[in-house]
This record gives sequence, C-alpha cells and structure tokens, in this order.
Amino acid sequence: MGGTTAQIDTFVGMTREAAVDRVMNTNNNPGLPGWGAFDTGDENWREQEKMIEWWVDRMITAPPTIEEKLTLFWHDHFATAREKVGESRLMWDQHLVLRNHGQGGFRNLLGRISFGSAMLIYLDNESNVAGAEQENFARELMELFTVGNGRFSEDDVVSMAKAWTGHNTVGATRENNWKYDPTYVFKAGEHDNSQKTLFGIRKNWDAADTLDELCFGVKATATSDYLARKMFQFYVHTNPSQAVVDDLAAGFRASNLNIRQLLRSILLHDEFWAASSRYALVKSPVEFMVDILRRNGLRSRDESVRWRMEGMGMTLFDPPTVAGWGSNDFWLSTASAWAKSRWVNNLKWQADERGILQNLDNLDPDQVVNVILTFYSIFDASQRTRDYMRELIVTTRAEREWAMAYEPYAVGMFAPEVQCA
Amino acid sequence: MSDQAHETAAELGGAIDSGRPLNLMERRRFLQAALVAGGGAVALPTMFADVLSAQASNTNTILVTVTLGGGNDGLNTLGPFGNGQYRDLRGQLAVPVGGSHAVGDGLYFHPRMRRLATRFRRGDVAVVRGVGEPLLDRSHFSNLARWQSANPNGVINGTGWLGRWLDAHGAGQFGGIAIGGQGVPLHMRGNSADVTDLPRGGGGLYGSDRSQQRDQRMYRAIRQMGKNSDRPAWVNRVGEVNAQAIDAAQAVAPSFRNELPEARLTRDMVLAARVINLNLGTRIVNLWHSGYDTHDRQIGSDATSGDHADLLDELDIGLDAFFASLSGPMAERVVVMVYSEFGRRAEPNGSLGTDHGTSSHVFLVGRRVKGGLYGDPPPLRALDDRGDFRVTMDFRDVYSTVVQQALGTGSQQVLGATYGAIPSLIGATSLGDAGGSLADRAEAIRRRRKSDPKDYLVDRAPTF
Repeated sequence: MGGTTAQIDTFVGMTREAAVDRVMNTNNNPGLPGWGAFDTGDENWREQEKMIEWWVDRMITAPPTIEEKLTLFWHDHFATAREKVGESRLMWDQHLVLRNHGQGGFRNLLGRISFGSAMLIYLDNESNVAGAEQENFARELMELFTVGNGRFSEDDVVSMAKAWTGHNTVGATRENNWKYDPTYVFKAGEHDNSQKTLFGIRKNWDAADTLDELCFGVKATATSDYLARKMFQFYVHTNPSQAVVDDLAAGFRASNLNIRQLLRSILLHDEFWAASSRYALVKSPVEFMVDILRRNGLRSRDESVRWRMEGMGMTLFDPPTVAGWGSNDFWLSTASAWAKSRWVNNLKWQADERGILQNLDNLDPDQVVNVILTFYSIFDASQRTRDYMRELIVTTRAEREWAMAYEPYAVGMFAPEVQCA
Repeated sequence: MSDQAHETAAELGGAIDSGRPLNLMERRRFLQAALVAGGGAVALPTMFADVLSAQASNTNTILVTVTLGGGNDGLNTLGPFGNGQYRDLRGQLAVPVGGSHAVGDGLYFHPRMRRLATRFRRGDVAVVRGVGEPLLDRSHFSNLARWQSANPNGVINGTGWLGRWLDAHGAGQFGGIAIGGQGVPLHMRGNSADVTDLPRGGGGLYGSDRSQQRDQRMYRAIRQMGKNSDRPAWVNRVGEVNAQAIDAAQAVAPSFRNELPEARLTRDMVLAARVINLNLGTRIVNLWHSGYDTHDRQIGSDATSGDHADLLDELDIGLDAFFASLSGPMAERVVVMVYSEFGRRAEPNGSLGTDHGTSSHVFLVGRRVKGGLYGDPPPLRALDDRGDFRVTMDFRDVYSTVVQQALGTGSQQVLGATYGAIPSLIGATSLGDAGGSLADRAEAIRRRRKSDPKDYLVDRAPTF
C-alpha cells in the first residue's frame, strides 16, 4: 500500500531480492483486534464503518509489507458484500481468513472461504438442497474464484451445485427461537449422494473433492493460469503476455499453489521493475486515500473515510458484485473524479494546521513545485504537470501578499501522476 | 471513426495517428481544423455534422436504458396469470389474477405495476417477448457483458453497442450520461466516446462553484494538467477525466439545485429527467435498478408482496416519476428501454426463488413508441432441454430496431452485422394517442400526483 517518502528512502540501495524479502517478511506486523473492537450489539452498518476505519488506519500505519495489499487483493477476488450477508461479524470472520490464510496454500484459503458463513450466505449455498439445487455458488466458484469463464461446461455447473448441496449454516431453528444462526453445518439429509459427472469424471462428488480437483486435479492448469494472470494484473500491469502468465502459473503449480511463491515471482519479475510498468495502473480509491492520508499525517476518523470512499466508488466490505471491483478504466469516471477532487480540495486546509507548507515563501516557484511533488514521492512528473502547478503558484502569489501554497498543494494531490501507480 | 474522417485527417497534415481512435481533444482540434479549411476543401464527416446539429435539432429521440441488474423474472412481471399451465408451473410463486392489470392476449401486468399498465393502455408501451440469445452459460457477468457489448461473435472487447454508436455519431461530452456514480456501463463504452457519469448526490460536483477566484485558478490548473502530453497513457487518461469532470460539473449543476426524492430508483429517474431537460445534446442515458437476482424467497405471503413485487413497485413508480419530471418537449422525445441480462428459469427452485433463466421481455416506453405486444411468447410447456423458456427473438434484433428507429442511423456498423428489425415500432415523432388528447393526459398526470403524493417528488416546473 505504498509508504512515506522516508520509508521509501530506506529501500534505496537494496537489491531486488533484498527489497522483496523485506516486504515479504510479515512476522513483525502488529497483532489483530478481536471482534469486541467492533461489536455494537446489532448495529451492522456502524460495525462495518468501524471495520473500514480500522483497516484504513492499519493500511496507513502498518510497516510496509505485502500483508495489506494482498488482503485487499483477496477481498476483491472473493468479493462478498456486507449488504447481502447482513451481519458484519461474518465479514470480520472472513476478513481474518483472508488475512491469516492469504499467504499460504490457495487450496486452504479457498476451502476456508467457501465453507465460511459469509460466502455460504452471499452466494446462496445455504438454500442449495438436493432435489432443488441452487447454482449461484457453484458457478461463481469456477468462473470467478478458480478456473475462469469458458473453462467449464453448463453440465459442470449442475454437477457442482449437487456436490455442494447440504453445506449450509445452522440457519433459523425452532430450538433457537427462529433466530438466525450462521454457524457452518453439514445437513446430511439435504446432500445429494448420487453419482455425478464433473469435469468428465463420474463419482459421488462432495464439496471438498471439487476444490481438490479445481486446485490439483484436471483443472490445476486452468486455475493456476487464472490466478497468476489476475495477480500479475493487480500488481504490475493489465496486459501480461501468455508466456509470462504460463511461466508464473507453472511455478505456482510446482509449489502446490503456494500464494507467497506466486507473489514473490511477480515481485521479482523483470516486468514488475520495468520502466514501462511505472504508471501502468490507476490507483483504486482505497489506495489513493490511504496514500494521501498517510502523507498528510491523517487517520480515518479525521476524514470520515467510509463516506468518502463510497463517493469514489469503493466501499470496503461492500464490493458492487461478486466479480469485485475492476481496474484502471473502472476507476475513471467523472463521479469518482468529483469525489476525489472535492476531498483533496477540503484537505488543503489541513496543510496549514499541520505545518506542511511552511517555509515555502522564500523558494522560487519551481522549487515549490518540487517540494509538493516530492511530498507525494513523484520524482518524474511530466513537464505539463510541472508547468501548470508552477503557473498556479505564480498567479496565486501575484494576488496575495502571503504565499501559502494551499491551491498548488491541493492540485498536487490531484495531479494525474499521483493518481497512478 | 469513419474511413472518410481518417482520409480527412490525412489531408489535414497527418498529425493524427490513423491507427487509433481520436480522443476528445484531438476531435476538437480536428473539428476546428476542418472548419478552418472550410468550404469544399474537405468534406465534413458525419460525426462532426452531428455535433454541430445537436444543439440546433430538438427532435432527435433520446434513448434511456434501464438496466435491471440480476436477471428479472419477466414471466411474473407480465405474464398469463390466469392460465392453468402458468399456475402449475409457478405454484406458490404464481401471481394471482386478482389485482393484476389485464393488457389483452390473456396477459397481465403484475399488481404492483398499475402505472405502467395505464401507460400501456394509452398506447405508449411496447412489450417485446421471448428476447435473449441461446446462452453459452448462465453467469450474470458474461450474459450482461454479451447483452451490453452485443458483438456478433460474442467476443467482449471492452466496447458496447451504444458506446460504438456514440463513437460514430458522437454528440459531445453529454451525448451519453450514466446515472449513479458507478462508472460507465459496458454498453455505453466506446473507443473514443466520452460518457459523463453522474453521482447520486449533487454536493460533490467539484468545478460547479465559479464564485471564487481561488477555485477558478485551480480549475484552470487541473484542466491544463489534463491535456495530453508526453507521458504514460494512463497518466494522460486520468488527466483527461479530471479535466472533463471540471467542465461537466458546471453544466449539470442545475439538475441538483432542487431536492431529489429519497427512493433510490425514483431519485435516479428524476435526476435523469432533469439532466435531459437541460438540453445538453444528450442522446443516451443509462440507469441501474439492481436486486433482481431473486434466488431466495422472491415472494412474501404471496407473489403480490416480497422482494420481486417491491422491485416492480419501485420500477413502476420510478418510470412514472421520470415522465412526470420531463419538460413537455423532452417528454415527447424520450424512448425508455427496460431490459435485463436474462429472465429466470421457468420452474421455481427449492427456496421460493428462481434461478437464472434465458429469455425475457424487453419494454419500450414513450410517446414515440407504437404500443402493443411484439414477438412470439415462448410456450410455457415446450421448454428447452434444460427446462428454460425458448428464445424467440435475438436481442440484437431489438437493438437494430432501436438504433434504426430511435437513434435514426444504420445499425450494421454498431452491431457488426445485419440483424432483423421490428417494422415501425418507434416513430420519429410522437405517435397518435389512444387514450385522449395531450391536455387529457396532462390532467390525468396531475390527478395522479394529487392522489399519490408520497409516491415521488416531482419538479414543480421543469427547468430547461
């Protein structure tokens, strides 16, 4: 999730390997709070807001390691929305799985998410019963979580749904006064024990068998290809060649789908370090906000982040669909630009309170431009960006006795370079 | 961009790389250049002729798509509710005839759609039945993407049918408007078309307040920084969107001046009407109405209540509020197309819901629409081998009808192939009114507003 200029400076002079090893070392990351930190009784909306604020603050303050961005990747990949799930508690349980198991074996992560209450509810597997199958989870498990579209048949969807029948939550029972109980339970009476043909193999498939087959069996190539491509696109750029993906996928398979192995290969990849990959991704609103907040010494509560991120089109724990959020063009709308520009325009007054813009009076306009862009770790801004920040400084100074650079500072946050990674 | 335009670009000095579509700035520059050359020296490509005539012409049809996200249960929206086969098929989920609104042919609108039924009886609603395509799969994402991209070979290349129309017949920055602040939907994405995405609230329109010198200076800086220069493509693209947002804010700000209704779809529909009333040259608008993925308990105590009925109620009220909020001349020009990525399966599932199905209805609503029932209804008994309704009309036939008759251009370039069209479904001007004079309708709308004041908040005087 980036870092301050000072943090970035500590990486100067390291080899690629050493730098990657350092960000991959998550052993010293701070511990995690218990549910009690968010529990309000039954105010799910407020609980979600507290979870968002906690996560944003953690992204701002945690040491620069892979943990936060990788957790965001998995939240997007296994997109589940509090709006449908209802209970924020279940989203927190899922978040802990993404965080605590997001760096190990993919099969383990996939299983914990699939059998987790949040997902069972979100994709309706709680109503998937033998004889009246419900295909929602079965389809997305293949299309979005593992092999990708076009790599399974409609017959596979039918068989997959049957294999997942009976895997459920306790639900609302008489014993519990019809109060909904989200605890996982296998309802043997609702499970289909028949012979089913899945991926051309005929047997009595059960849920866990299907995950093994997707990860290690006949679908291992498709799954490793899908995940390698998606992770590369999240971290590097959106157009990897098939050869690059094949190479990453082969290594991923050889490690039995070890996530750290795949991520490490991506972070060490020549294309990750290539000049052409600089500015190849548009920052998502959460990445943009975290970067700005951190550099300005702010925390989530200072800026009511939930409301801000909603305006920018990205509310944590509430992705728009099971496909999650998109990338690049997905974030480029007038609506999102309005929300961002309005926010940074308000932030400019913080610069005064925090003394960020002191001692600029004696600098010439070009030096002020450099100070502001350096504040955002932009060392390679285009001439056009520099020219018009400079013009703004000159015209502002011409009008005022004092030269506090509020406007150039705000516009700097909004510079096209600052919004890309 | 047309070949003709490329040739013209070449004549102008070849400054523009002909291998890629022009962006907004290039198109503006090119347009200026073309006009300076003037006279008979270069032929003005049609796309620019459209831009120039957009303001002058006030009879072009405005197409408003309402995307029902999740897959609407078309059979329970408008169906043969009195039919025994229907009742057998749907069981507990069957909509009762009592309270439903008969529209002939043994069909009824759902009880919660009385306003649309009234509009149907006035002759302003066309229902096209059995619309879809043979499914490759039943995924929301791929079906919505196929409906929205509408490429003949099913390939989804990031552009949509209306985005390609905007590319070819661009009407400027406000030619396409997406309502909701959720990004530009695929069907409105083109290679060069600029679609303005409006958020649901007006408070955040950075760029709309021009009262302070200080702000004006910042707007200038953002605009100038946004122009293309020698830097990575995505940096240029971000800058361009930032600059557009500044301009767009000022233009659309009047739409937010008066309070908007609370209800989600009604709010969006009233906002859409107000933006259309601004007469910014808008030709295409999209709104989302999501939540139709009714796998689980789509009914309440019966099919007249519960999730699906509530959605239809919102849709019914939203459409009515939309037409009531349009200014008189605009109300004559608008055609609304209501569609969804698929219908639901014929038989309910085990949890009082319905799974993803195939074909469904497309509704076209407006004064220029020749109301009635179109297309062959898929038979209730003769389902396909998966227990789904058959597709009796390719959705691209509906699109080709809409492109030709509502947008007034050829459809082959936009759809990449030639498709059939329903003859004379949409007129270039308002069609006759089966339900009385204009004055009668105005009176009827006034009465309805009076009797139903809580349904929605309507502008007292639509602003132009």
